[in-house]
Amino acid sequence: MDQLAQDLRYALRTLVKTPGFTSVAILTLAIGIGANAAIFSVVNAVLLKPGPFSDPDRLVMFMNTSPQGSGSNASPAKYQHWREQTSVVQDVAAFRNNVVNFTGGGIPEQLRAGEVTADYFRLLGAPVFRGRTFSAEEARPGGERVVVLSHAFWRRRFASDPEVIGKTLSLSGDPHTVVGIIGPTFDVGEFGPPLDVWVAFQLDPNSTDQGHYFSAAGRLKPGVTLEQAQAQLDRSAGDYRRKFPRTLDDNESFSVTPFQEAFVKDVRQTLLVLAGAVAFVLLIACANVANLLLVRATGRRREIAVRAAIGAGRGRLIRQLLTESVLLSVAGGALGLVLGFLGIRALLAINTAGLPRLGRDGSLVSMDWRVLGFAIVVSIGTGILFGLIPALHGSRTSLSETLKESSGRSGTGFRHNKSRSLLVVAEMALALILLVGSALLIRTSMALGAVNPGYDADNVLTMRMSLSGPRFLQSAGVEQMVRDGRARIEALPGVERASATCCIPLEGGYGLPFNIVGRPQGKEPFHGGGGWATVSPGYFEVFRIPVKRGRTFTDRDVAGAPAVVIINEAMAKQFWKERDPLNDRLVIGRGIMQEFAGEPERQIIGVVADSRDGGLNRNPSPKMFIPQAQVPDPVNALNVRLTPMAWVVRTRVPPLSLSAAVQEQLRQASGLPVSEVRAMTEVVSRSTSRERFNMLLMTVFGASALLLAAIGIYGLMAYSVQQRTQEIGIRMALGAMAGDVRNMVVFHGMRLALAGVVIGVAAALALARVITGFLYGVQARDPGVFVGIPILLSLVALLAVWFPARRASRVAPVIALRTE
Amino acid sequence: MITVSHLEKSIKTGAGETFLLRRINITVKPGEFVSIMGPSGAGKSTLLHILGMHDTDWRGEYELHSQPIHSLRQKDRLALQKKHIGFVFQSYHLLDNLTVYENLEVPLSYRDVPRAQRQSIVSDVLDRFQIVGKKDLYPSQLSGGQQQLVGVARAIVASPSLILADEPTGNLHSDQAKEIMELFKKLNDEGTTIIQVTHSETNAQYGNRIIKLRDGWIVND
Repeated sequence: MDQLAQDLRYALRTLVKTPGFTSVAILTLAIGIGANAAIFSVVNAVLLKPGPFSDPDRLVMFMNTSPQGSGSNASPAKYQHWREQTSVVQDVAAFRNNVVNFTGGGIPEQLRAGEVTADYFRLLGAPVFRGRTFSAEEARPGGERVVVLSHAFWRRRFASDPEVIGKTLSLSGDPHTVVGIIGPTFDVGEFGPPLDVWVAFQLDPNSTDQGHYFSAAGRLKPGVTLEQAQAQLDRSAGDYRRKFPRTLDDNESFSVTPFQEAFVKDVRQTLLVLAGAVAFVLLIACANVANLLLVRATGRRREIAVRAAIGAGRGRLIRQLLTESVLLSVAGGALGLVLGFLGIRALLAINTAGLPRLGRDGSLVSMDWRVLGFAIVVSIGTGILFGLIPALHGSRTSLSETLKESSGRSGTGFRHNKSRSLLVVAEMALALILLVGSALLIRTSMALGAVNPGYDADNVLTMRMSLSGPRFLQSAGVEQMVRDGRARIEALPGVERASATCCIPLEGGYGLPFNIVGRPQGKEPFHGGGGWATVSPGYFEVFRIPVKRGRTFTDRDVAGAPAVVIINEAMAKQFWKERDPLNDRLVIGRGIMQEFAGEPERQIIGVVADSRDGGLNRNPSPKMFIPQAQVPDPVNALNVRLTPMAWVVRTRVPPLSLSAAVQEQLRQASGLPVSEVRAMTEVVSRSTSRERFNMLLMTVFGASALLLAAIGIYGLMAYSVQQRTQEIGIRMALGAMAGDVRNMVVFHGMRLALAGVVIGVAAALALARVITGFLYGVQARDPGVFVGIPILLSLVALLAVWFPARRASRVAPVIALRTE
Repeated sequence: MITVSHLEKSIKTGAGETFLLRRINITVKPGEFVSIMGPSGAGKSTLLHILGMHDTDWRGEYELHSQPIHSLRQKDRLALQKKHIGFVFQSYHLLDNLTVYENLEVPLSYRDVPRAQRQSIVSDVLDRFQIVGKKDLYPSQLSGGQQQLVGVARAIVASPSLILADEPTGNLHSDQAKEIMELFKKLNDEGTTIIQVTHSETNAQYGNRIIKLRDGWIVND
């Protein structure tokens, strides 16, 4: 400890005495370590931090698996089936997020509601602050309507009134009795939007409903492993197929996955790739600082030799030099941690990339013990990594040569720069890899921006409305309100057209199977499946989706009129190929859920152009549109329960400027509040937020790498020129021209740079497949990128080498020859 | 104390080799004050650095306190060096970023001397060399003579039985040189064996034995 204290004291003094070197080194390390700490803080929040539940490792999400992948959507029938697997799981609960209108007692408000079964609170270990949660009876169809409040909502809306238990709240037109308040520490906000209330999910235990519209989770029984539960679920799939024939294919099954994993599995690879990329930045920073230390080691050879002469062993010398490098890296790490954390929070405030568990604007990204521990380990490890080569190099000084008085000419030339040269080559290679990655992601972002989504998102206002109240359980009630609302909105100055739909493009939707009337039935119960949306007249006009065949919906397509449906081109091509779909009728969803039992045969009246509803980077898939007015009542009742309706308005002026006016008209038409008022361009932008996030980060990494690599090669060449001053003087005295000297230095530097570029290109080609999943509109081995980036990097290297080369060419021979 | 037999050192030059030292045979008894003299390039400093174990690339036999240095591992050589040898350099070679006190303390630290004991020893040496008032100064704040004084103090702080001095007064003017040589004489009188490399006949007179080298050979002893 005493020796360590000595080494620390001396290291600190040495670093303070060379402020230029120290500040450059610390700043370089701050960039590398800070960027890594920033990304790790996101990785920590998303992947590592345990969820805010009791015993989170035992929580599992039930999944449906198929060759196409897995998903957590559950049907009432599957939920009951999973509840019956009592040998491996317990406390199985169903849940979904919804919105409800809270009316009465002040300003109507749309609340975020969790619709949950009775086991939900016990499953997640929700602490009850006051009162109780739901009973089993209350969670059955026909049970008393009760509600549990979140602590935040209770504080905000009821001013923490202790008498709120037992009060009645009107939620979506129905009276609900407040039975409990959940404690403030229960926060499911990181797995979705924070909830204001919970209402009972009144699922029929005997339901054979195959509609998938919620999720289910449970807890592994004591002593049961995930693998055992997995095996049991898989075996049980056969029972389910026997009980519900033709609902589960032979290659489909059930599985369980850790609860947290279900939310983050889709982003794991993204984060790991970003973590890998940022590690490259750190390696480049290390190489730069190692180069600086190697230069210093050369200048400290005398000191090292003296220390060895007065008794320091090699190990002691290495330890002393490593103490300096670790001190540098810890200082850089401390600065980097602060800068990195502030930087990532600032970035997330603009764009959370749709990453789960980050909270609003990244508020859940915190500097906890994991992040601090990571920063400390990386700092110390970095210090050892970049300090080791210089320490080994420096401690290997030849004592007698260094200490002798008649040392003669140095004449070190290039030989002693071998380690530094290798480091610069490595820097260039790493920088090239990062720059290729960022170029590919920039191309992806550009390609996504150039994609024709199939609709015109400009000047379209969107907002959501939860249809609560008995009036809207009937389709006619919805249709009447929509007709009234449309008329009011379209009467506003600046409005071109208005419509209502269940599903805004890019924000999810429904999928249903169908049969084509008159076509022979195969082994499968349905001829096909596709997206399904309810729209009112004007929808295609609002989004300017062209009609390719037939017509769109009009106000005459109402209940009682012939049932109709419009399909898109993708569906027409897939299921009709060269034939004319307008001759055919569809039966949609009949047999999949009881609500669709009365679904009529619908005449296909139109084919509209494809639009990218599932994502700008996804090809259009088959889709069906039915008129809002012709939705069967049971389907309508299900629809209004599942999803708030969306209003879409095409304007002649900036859409948000009409937001207040439109909301007022809708309030008059329906008496209901709206939420999520956004321009459609914002919806589109959010759909590509993750691609932009990836691109932005990779660009920052690539630019940092480019800058550090340029500094590295500049530093090497500047030092080399300084070392070779005498040699240059001799050459010039022997007849070399300034241009010859300049070219000599440039050739030396560019040889290293090009070696690094070649290695980098080979490595980038090998790593290309890692990034394939992030790309759109560009190949992972895009020739343009793989030619352009090496040229760019070489030009930057040339610029970095040029200045020392020019300095070398201006050396005065007589001065150079006197240099020792 | 020291026995050197058939010591040779050469370096490869082109196709052949150049000898820096040829068949060196020396015996130094405890308490001797030996001066090694000779023209430039004779091999004086080379021999001194071999004796000080700064140079490991040589042939022959070298015993220090009956320990066969030539057959010891580097770790064991270093241990012997730390225990028995102090080195004084022509250019002082003080550590520029350490104070006088710290320059004296460092050798003790490398010998794992506990802190309290280090403080005591360094205080004694500062007092003995009458440089207590300069203990917090850095080498750049001292004159040449003062720096060499500190260099000598550093060499003896660990109480070595042998001091090797390479042109210890080479960078000093005559008054300072005399002061340093008087100091060496005093140390020798107290029992420390001293081997110095010197060009100065005056300095050689302080010793009791002169070894002359020329072209790597001992020509006179």
